[in-house]
Amino acid sequence: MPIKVPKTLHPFINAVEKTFKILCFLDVTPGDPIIKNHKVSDKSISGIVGMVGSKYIGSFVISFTAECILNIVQKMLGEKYTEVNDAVSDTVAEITNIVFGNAKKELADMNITLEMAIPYTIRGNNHIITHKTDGPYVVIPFSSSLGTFTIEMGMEPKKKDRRG
Amino acid sequence: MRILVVDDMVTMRKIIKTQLTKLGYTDITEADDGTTAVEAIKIAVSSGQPYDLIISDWNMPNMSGLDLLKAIKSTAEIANTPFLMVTAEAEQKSIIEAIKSGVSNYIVKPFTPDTLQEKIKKIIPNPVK
Repeated sequence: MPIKVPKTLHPFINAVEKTFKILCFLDVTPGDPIIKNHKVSDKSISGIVGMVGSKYIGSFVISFTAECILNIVQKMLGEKYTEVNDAVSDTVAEITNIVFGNAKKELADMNITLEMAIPYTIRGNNHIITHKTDGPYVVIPFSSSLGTFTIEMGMEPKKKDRRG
Repeated sequence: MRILVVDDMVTMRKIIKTQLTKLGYTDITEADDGTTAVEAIKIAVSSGQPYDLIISDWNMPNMSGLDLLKAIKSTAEIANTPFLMVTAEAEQKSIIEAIKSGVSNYIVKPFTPDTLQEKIKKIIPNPVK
């Protein structure tokens, strides 16, 4: 049975499409959502931002294959790298920041307010993503002419809001 | 025209610098932190070559763009320096806070060179490149 995209993920999908369109003239296509029950990434690098608001807590993650992010960095900055290094990590953190900032605005319009936070990155094979929630997480795969990447999110109501 | 670009992220400084260069601006200095920026602005003023425009990110560790703006506005010798705030947040309450603090204008990431030029011209109608 197909999984429905949670309404809280739509702002992130919209922000991803807008960010890559403006920053590197890239059209990206979201695929069907997948439910993930673990914290291991099958990509080479992830940008992570913790989300804390008055009602919700969670994490947003964007993860790239090495091929995809190296192509994106070259298209965006005109700089060619052969490995996922600190400069590439910086770009992933900035992409995460921009996507989160744009999604945050759309979420606020849905009455879900979140605080802005500083994103960070983690890289390497089978790296562990430190989510703020225990899961499960919803993953949206994206395809593009520069390679594949995913976004994933775990979000749940804050504990105090779940009492009674 | 002398421009100071302030952002803790190298990527965003590169994007802004590349866009400014495409627009014809050549005198561009970078600072990776608000505290460093305040010092750079004071030195520029005391050496008789003040910056004509500060382009600063909002979301930075140590000293945010908003704190940098407030620091500039509370220092008489540099208080009139035009300030363009770069933000990933387009929320009304954040923008109102920046306007109350005296920001000249703001630009929401991601943006194109044309949008950047449009914002600069709203602050400095006839910029000398």
